Amino acid sequence: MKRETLMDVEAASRSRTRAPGNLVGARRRQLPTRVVAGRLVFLLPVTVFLLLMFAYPMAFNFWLTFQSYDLASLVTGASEFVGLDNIVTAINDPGFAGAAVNTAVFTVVSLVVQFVIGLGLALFFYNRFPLSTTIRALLVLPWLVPSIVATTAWRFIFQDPNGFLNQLLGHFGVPPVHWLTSSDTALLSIIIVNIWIGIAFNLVLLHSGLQSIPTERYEAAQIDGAGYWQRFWYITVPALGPVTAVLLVLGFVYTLKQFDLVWTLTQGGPGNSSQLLSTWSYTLSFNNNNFGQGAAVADFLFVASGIVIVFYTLVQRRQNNA
Amino acid sequence: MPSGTMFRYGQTLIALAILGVLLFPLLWVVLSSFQPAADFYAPEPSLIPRNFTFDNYDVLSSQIGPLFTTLLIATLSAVVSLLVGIPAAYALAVFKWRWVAIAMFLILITQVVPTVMLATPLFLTFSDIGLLNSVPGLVLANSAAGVPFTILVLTAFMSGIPDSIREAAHLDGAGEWRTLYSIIAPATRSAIVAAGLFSFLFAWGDFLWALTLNTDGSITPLSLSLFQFVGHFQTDWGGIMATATIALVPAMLLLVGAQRYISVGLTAGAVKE
Repeated sequence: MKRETLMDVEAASRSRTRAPGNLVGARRRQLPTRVVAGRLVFLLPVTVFLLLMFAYPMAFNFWLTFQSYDLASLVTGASEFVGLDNIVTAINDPGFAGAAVNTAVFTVVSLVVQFVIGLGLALFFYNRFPLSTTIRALLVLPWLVPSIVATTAWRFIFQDPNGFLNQLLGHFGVPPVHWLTSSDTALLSIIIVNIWIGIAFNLVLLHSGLQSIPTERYEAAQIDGAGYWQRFWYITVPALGPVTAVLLVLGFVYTLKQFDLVWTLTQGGPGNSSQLLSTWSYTLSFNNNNFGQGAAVADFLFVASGIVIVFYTLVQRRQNNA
Repeated sequence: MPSGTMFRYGQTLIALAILGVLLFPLLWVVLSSFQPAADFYAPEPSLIPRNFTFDNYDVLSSQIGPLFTTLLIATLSAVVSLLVGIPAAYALAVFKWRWVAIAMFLILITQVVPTVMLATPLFLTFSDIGLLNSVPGLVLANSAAGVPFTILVLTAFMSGIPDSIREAAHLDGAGEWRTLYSIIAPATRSAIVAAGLFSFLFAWGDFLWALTLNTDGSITPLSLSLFQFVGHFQTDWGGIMATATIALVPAMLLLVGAQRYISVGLTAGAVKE
């Protein structure tokens, strides 16, 4: 998409230099250095900002990965190079494997269920009906509220033994579940809340994806005698491919980053039963003052999402070129 | 025909039911913030307050400080995000630099960086330079979400403006800054508003920076205050629900007042390279 705009812009600039009496084009060639310098000033604030708030901390984190940075270092500032020790220790810690498995379950289940519910809602809201736009807009609210409000609301619902959910299940004869306080259900509870938050994102993107499918295609298929499911499988599903790819890639990245939910609901407990890699990294650094290992786990998270984003970009580029 | 209308209103009813189910947790927070504390311990909690009261909002006296702290931090974060993001988006959208695609990719990558990866380095650095427990420190950290987001949204919008408009401004003798200020910025007003609102909302909802960069309790944003509230006084559900309702307000205002900007903001993350 961007590629096309860039090409348009280049074409426009070529035609502009050809236009007679274009002062801008002429002056640009006369004073290239000054103009270029003047234009780079636009990028100065963002360059400084990104260097200070991203490049520097990321390099710092990478450096920490290879340092013995602990509680004493906080005071003295001194630490020494320990090679791969932090990485090896972090990976061999049973906490890491548990958090990695939890993260995988959390991410896959969240993505799939959010997508299915989001698609169902997008299909439901495809046709306009009274209040449809307003109701669809209101459905975005869970995504907009501060995470602490979302978790407070759910903490109330999950209350043990008299919360709403347990009362509801009680009507069906299910005994009270210790949602957040049992190692069997803590991860499930967090997944439920995360799905609840993510539905809006899926609904909005899938809805705009559906709206961009030309209606003539459906009409033509209907004339050819295609039923609802046939139209869904042979028109809707293929047309939603690109949106789905974006959704899954961004969803993966955002879900991997998720920290607030877990920290405010269970802090990874009980035991480490709802520990994710993000909260594990934070626990290692800030609870155990094991900054090197915390940094190593954070690196791991970054590399995992980096691989997905780079892979996605390459595939997209190849499709654009094809 | 009438059956078609019936069907459409039937859909509305189903949609309202879906809305009720999905917003139920938030609805309950708001409704129960108006019910007397004793009713929270009724054997069968009721959704609609049986006795209506504002007593829970007495909590405001202790939450007014955190409320203003958060308001200040979120407003300043939005300002920083726009001040840094608008010129950058303009440059990336209209100057025909060959490496724009690479720059955009780098900005996209910032969206991928796990916040926990920045937490330790910024904590240690801020501790060294005295930015822990300070408003500027929190504004800087929170802008790390708003700045890249603003650039992604605005670059997409600004590259949609025809080149000829910019050229006309240049012919009238306007420099690049003047063109941005008086032509391009007004033309992309809605996107700028959306970027600002979302940057505000990111900072308003922030929890991780509030947790990490405040060590001595001198600054307590609302999210941290609510977290501590839930932790320390978990029995005071009335106060907790009132505080949570207050924290909900900006998101609700955004929904009501700026509805058309929301899809702009929501889909911005999906702006392709």
